[in-house]
Amino acid sequence: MQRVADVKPSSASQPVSESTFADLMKPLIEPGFRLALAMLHDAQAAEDAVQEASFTAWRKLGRMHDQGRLRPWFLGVVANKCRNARRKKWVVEVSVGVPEELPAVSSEDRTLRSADLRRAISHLGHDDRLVVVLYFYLDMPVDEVATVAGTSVGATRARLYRAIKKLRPDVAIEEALR
Amino acid sequence: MSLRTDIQMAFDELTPSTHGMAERIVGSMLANRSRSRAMFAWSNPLRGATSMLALILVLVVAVGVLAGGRLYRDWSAFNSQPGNGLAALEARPMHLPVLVPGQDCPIGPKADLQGAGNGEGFGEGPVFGMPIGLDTKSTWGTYGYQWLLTRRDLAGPVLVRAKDLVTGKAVVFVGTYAAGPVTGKDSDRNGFAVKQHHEALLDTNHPPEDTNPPEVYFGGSDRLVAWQITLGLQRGASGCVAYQIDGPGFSEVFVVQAVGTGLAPN
Repeated sequence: MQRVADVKPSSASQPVSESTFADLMKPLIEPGFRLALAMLHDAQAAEDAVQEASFTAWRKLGRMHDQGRLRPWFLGVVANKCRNARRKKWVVEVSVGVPEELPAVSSEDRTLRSADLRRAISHLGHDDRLVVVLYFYLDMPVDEVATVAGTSVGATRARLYRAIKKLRPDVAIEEALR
Repeated sequence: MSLRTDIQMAFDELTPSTHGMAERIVGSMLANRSRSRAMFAWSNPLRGATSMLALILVLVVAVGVLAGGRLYRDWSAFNSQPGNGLAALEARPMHLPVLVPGQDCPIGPKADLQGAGNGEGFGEGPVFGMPIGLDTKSTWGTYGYQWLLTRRDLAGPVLVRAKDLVTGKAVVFVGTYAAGPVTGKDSDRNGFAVKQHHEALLDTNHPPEDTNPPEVYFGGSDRLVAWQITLGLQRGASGCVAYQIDGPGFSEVFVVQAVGTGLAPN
């Protein structure tokens, strides 16, 4: 498996035009934002993380050998921006974005259950939270999740299993993975 | 309802409309870049100084290329010397400790990572090991991962070999950093094929970058590079693993006890 880290810059940088960059990036912004929001639980911080990741992408895109792997690479950059954002205390302590618990949209039970689940996921470590969000929320296959997370498929799968056990200790892994 | 559906519903409730967001973010980024260009054009009075700076940079680059070429030649010569190339590293004899029956696993030496480690570390450097985490069983044995840390100033190939001290069997390496001939094959419980090697190779001239930088895991160290290697212990292994790490000008040994989901019994 090729790791994200293996997408090494080539010695000769290939300039990317603004229109090409825009065309490449636009489909990635929404998944990037969804990932960042699920990681940070804060819409403004999530948009900031995606914006910063886009700057990084602009700087490094021309040096990528394989632009076909842009999506996992970009999501990996977003994940790192989220990790850095979580380190800033204000993101954790002063959430200025969407509140964790929203008014009931269909039923009180469902809303409470969703809030509990979000809270449980937010209490996972960064790496566990990342694989859960990528696998379950963004519907990415395990090998692509591993690429984004920068680990092996086996380690990713193990991390996923551990996270599931923390979220749903009473549910069989096979059932939870559906 | 499945966990997947629950998670998607939970986060979809949070997600505001993303309509126009892609255009806004990409547009804003490109506009900022254009503004930077405009500011550069506006700063005509600075052009003289900028030209001078550019000239200096050209000179620095020229000197750098010359020095780099020399360094490259030196490196090539260094690699071709007996004792420093990969083949020479592979030819070095193993000098791992030998256990007598009943002896405890001689874990250590403990590493002094000066706050860079997040707990235990092993080795005297320039390569350090963290504890092994086992997490995946197969019919052959148990697989896991281990972080190896190399000093950032280390250059050249670093060869990693390891043995279970109790059984005497070689530890296998799979995945990204596995190297050398394929010594066996296995498949994990989901049917993914795994090729086993008896060596792992860290190319310190091309360290892993961007995703999972070592400072994330190891307390902000800018002195160390982190490599996550995947290894396997054959069924019946004790988990008392001795590493021999060979690189240009050094050979070090440390012993680690594997922890995690347990070893596969015989």
